[in-house]
Amino acid sequence: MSSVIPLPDGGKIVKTNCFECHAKCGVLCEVDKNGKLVKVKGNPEDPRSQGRMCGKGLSATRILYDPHRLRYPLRRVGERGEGKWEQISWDEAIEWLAQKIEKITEEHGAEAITYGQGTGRGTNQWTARSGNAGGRVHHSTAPGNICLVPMMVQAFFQYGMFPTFDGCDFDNADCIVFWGANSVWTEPTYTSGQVGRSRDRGAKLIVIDPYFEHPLAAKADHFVPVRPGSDTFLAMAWINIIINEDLYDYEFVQKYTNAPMLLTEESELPLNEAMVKEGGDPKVMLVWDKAAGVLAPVRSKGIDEDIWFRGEILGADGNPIKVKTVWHGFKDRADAMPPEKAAELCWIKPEVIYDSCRTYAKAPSATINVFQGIEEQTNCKDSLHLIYDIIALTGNLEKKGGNLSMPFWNQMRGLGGKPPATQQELRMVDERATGTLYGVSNPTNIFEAMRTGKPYPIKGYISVQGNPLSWSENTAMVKESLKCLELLCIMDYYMSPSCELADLVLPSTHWTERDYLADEVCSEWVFGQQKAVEPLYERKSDVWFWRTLGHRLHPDWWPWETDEELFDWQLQETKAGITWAELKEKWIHKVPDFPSRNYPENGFPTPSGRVELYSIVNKMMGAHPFGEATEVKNGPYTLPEEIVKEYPLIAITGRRYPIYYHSAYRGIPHLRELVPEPQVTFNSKLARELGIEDGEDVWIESPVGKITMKAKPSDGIHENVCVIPHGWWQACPELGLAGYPDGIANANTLTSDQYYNDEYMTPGLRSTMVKIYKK
Amino acid sequence: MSDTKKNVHYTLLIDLDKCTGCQACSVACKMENNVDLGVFWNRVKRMGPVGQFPDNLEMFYFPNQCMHCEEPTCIEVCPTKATYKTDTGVVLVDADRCFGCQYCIWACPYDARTLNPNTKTVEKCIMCVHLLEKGEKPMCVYTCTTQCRYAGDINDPDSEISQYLAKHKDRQFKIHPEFKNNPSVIYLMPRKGAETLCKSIARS
Amino acid sequence: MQIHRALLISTTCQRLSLGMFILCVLANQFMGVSLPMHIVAIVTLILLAFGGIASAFHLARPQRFFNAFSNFGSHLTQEAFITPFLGVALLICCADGLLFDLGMVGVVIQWVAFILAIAFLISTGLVYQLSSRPAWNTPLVLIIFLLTAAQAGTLATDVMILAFGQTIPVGMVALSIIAFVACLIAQIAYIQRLKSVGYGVDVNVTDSPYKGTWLGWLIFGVILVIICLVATLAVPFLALSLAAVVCSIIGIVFWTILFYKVALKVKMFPMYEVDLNIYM
Repeated sequence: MSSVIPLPDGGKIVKTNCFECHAKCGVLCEVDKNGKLVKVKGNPEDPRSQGRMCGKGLSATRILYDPHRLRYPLRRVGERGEGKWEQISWDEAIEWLAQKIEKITEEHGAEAITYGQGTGRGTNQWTARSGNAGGRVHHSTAPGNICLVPMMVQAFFQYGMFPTFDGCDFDNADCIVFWGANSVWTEPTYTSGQVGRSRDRGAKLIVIDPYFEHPLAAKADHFVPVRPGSDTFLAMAWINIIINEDLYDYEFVQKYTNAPMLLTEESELPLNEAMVKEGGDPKVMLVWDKAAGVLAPVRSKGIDEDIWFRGEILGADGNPIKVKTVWHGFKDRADAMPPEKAAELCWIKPEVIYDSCRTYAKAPSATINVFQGIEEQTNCKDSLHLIYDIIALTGNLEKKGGNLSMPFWNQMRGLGGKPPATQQELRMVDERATGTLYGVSNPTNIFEAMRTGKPYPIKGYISVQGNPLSWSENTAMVKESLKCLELLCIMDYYMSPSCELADLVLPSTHWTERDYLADEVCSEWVFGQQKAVEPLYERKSDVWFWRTLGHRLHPDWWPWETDEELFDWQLQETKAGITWAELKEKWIHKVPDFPSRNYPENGFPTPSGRVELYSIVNKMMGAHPFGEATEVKNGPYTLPEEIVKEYPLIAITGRRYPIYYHSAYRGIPHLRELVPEPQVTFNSKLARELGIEDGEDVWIESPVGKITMKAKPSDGIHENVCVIPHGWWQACPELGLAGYPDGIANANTLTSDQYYNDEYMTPGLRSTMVKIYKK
Repeated sequence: MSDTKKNVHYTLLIDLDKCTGCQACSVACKMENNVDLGVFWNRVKRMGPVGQFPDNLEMFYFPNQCMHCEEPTCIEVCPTKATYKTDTGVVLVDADRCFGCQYCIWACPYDARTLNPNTKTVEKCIMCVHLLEKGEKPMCVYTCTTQCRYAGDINDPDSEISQYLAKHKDRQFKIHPEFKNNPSVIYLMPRKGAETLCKSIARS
Repeated sequence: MQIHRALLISTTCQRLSLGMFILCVLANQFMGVSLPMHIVAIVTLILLAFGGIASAFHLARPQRFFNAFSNFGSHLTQEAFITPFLGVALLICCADGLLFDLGMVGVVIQWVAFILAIAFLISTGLVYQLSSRPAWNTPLVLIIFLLTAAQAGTLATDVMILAFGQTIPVGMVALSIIAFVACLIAQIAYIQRLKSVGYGVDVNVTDSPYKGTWLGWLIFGVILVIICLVATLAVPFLALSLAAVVCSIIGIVFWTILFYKVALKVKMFPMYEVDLNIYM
């Protein structure tokens, strides 16, 4: 059946996909005979969403025709930030931008230009390609460090694939865990209906989140209200219970993880063949074959690996080497974190840890969904590492009802092209975070370089779908930085605060007016996300922009003359087995499974061919090979006592709304009506102590800055925790609601640019110490 | 009108155990029926969190719209007969008759009616009868991200709504049946997070 | 649901004017005073018309007024239906003795107007007596509506009697006191009941946000009315009597605001101490 269905009155139904979040529900767009979009509703043929659709997507007609949207390319004519613009053509815009880029490149080198984005939703690879094509370094001034990169990359290291996003098999799980994730609001596509159905079947639900207002917390069999940032302790305690109560999947651990791999006892280096055999291969890791009583390569098949081996091996030099299995290293760490100790650190009761862990580990199949509650912490590498250990330990990987590989994630990487040879040398990091596991620059260093020219100047910044004055920590400093640029170009739907500071503002198409491929977060499918209406005014898609600019600057990197050619190339590279023309006609296409889905045959694409509890690549890149029970750098137990005394509340910034997407859509009146103002949620007992009433304006202050929001006292939060929403800048004139200038209600005005995760350079947004007081 | 049609009784069923308060239904209603700003035919509200953190807490979402009562006070009090009930059990307002006295707003205990400041008439949920009559689902039901909403002929034991109700009969309740309006919209109690509600209903 | 200012004015005017007309008829017939009924009817009509106009303003689409005659089960339709008959009867009463003299027929028409006035007050009172609004789900609603009309009516009748240079008869004094006391008792009973209505209407009127309104009622509708009434009975000055009426009217307005305020809420889940949140 065709993806465009004519209607008797001359209109048509266009099958496409929504783009308001990553998960891209199938949509039926009704277009009248004049080419006007009149209605959207979910497409029941989408096997994930089955016709369901959220408030953001359903608002398509209002967003498409919103008079406040950007319409034409605008070039600055007044002072920076003065708000004076001239309308120019796209040809002129691209040419002007290209010449600016060439000029900066000539004067300062290509490294003086940074490319970025806000939320990718399918453009991650093109932003990366733009940076890589410069030939010097891809800085990536984008919030990858707080979104997607830690959880995806750490999964690649340990599993060789990424199974905790759209790979959560909610529909078949017997136990569902939301760990720092509220996906039923943010990505209901593959989440909400499935979770409900599974609960009807009797599936158990565990919500690990400090916030009882999580939409599933009250319904959960176990609500585990951890202190923000204490997830590593909880995860380690779960591992402790799983091992000591013998709840782990022995066969999976023995055969498909590197638990039996041998390490040196003290320095915990992998024992390789060269260490025990003259002329042995240093790349071959070893295990102890219990049946034969000999060492064997980790990739050997059909042997009886001993996960419990600990003892002495004769080295190649004749000296004995003390060795232990990865399993021992792993278990020793877990044994050091009894649930009682973790409970104290997590501010919860030990029973909650025991009960939730047993429910998870005893379930025939269980799936864990992790997200930014964990990612946006300075210990995110460790918490993710340990959670990925848990999934493997219980054999829930690549299992029906568990966590499944989804092919796109592995294929996306290639699309951005190879990083330049000078990437490592030119990327900007410093002692706050060396970024061992994420090879781009720390955005905060980029912003600093814009201001100070150190370590070398950054003069140009080109970004799509991005509003760094909303997404980046320490907004005030970001604003100062952007003001120092020679070239700031931003493509967006709206004149955002970041656009206001730009030299060139470009109008982006809504999903109903752009052609693209929907593949990211689309599980095992790829969709032809075709436009329903012709682009209005002079709006263009982000992909068109990257391709056209790229083609002008680096045709060797961007040989494609049309978007269609690029789509075909992408489909080919991702081995989708279909062309754009066919896909557009068909709308939905199933892509081949990732090989590890059949892991007994293919293993996992890691150095050991197994799931790595001990990540060899982590070790090689200078990070801890094991997940460790680490504390956050900016929490109440790590900051100086006087700071904690002055700012006693741990603020979680970045709670979600089901009707907004990050900082977008506060200007859509019927959405704004539902949540008209930003509210800070904190404990109602504390509110009484502070004499603060519901709905009162309050100040929220951190050592970095202060903002104002409405007070929302709640029983559903710990007395030392508060919840601050992000993304508030836009006005809604139709409702008479003014905007929030100068970051006055912006959560990131409070967040610090001093504390970062070492490995992924993630700022500690979800444990920002603040105080709240009357205005 | 045929006999089969006479026995049709459209109503809504909402499973509060599944609702996650995502507001998709509120927005779908606005879009489908072009509901004006300031007017809600359907809106998801939230009870709680209420109680002691972290163990004794309750919270659930409550989608709030016209209950399409069997004996609606709003019809009884409407001096213009603008409010009426179809023979399929749907309570409607004839915008061409309503003169905006708002008596029905007092008479409705469910916060379901609003005077539209633009049209100057009272509005409320119409259960998307235009869709039901075509055999389609109301938009709130169609789009519900959690599948907690069902609509259809409750007199037809084979309808989706009857089937779902049959499976979850033990959890059904209605809001304020003691007001004698005899609301037809059926709610299902949350399995968890609404202990006070469950206890109270079980007692009465 | 909101408080309609127009309805405050119209129901107050109704109670004052119809209460006065009814009591004047009674005073003329049974208490030996002889009030010029065409004057009384004119005052009644003016007040009623003023209230009627105000009431029409609360309709969002007043041009559709004639739709009001559609549902005889609705107390509003009943009210609307009575209005023209009452209006005509009062008009005749106005004209009788001014333009022509109907003699006994005129008296009969006064009694017709008397009965229609009572019917009108009852249907208006019943408008508010709603089983689906817990604060109003009590016969006290109608009783208080009628008693406030009686209270304002007796006091206004006293004014009329004094204005026409006559002495307030003992029966009228007794009626004024009885109407006031009965009304006060009913109102106190209503306030008592408010404490345990349920559905989020467990209201203590001395608490915020009811306190100011309650105090207004107490001062004007009770204390000042008592003072003015006692003073009028002691020294039958017209001004004092007029003051009693004015205080009573202000009292009625305060009472009615309070009456609306307590009815604004019907909790969907009264078993919970808190109410539903509307924002996410």
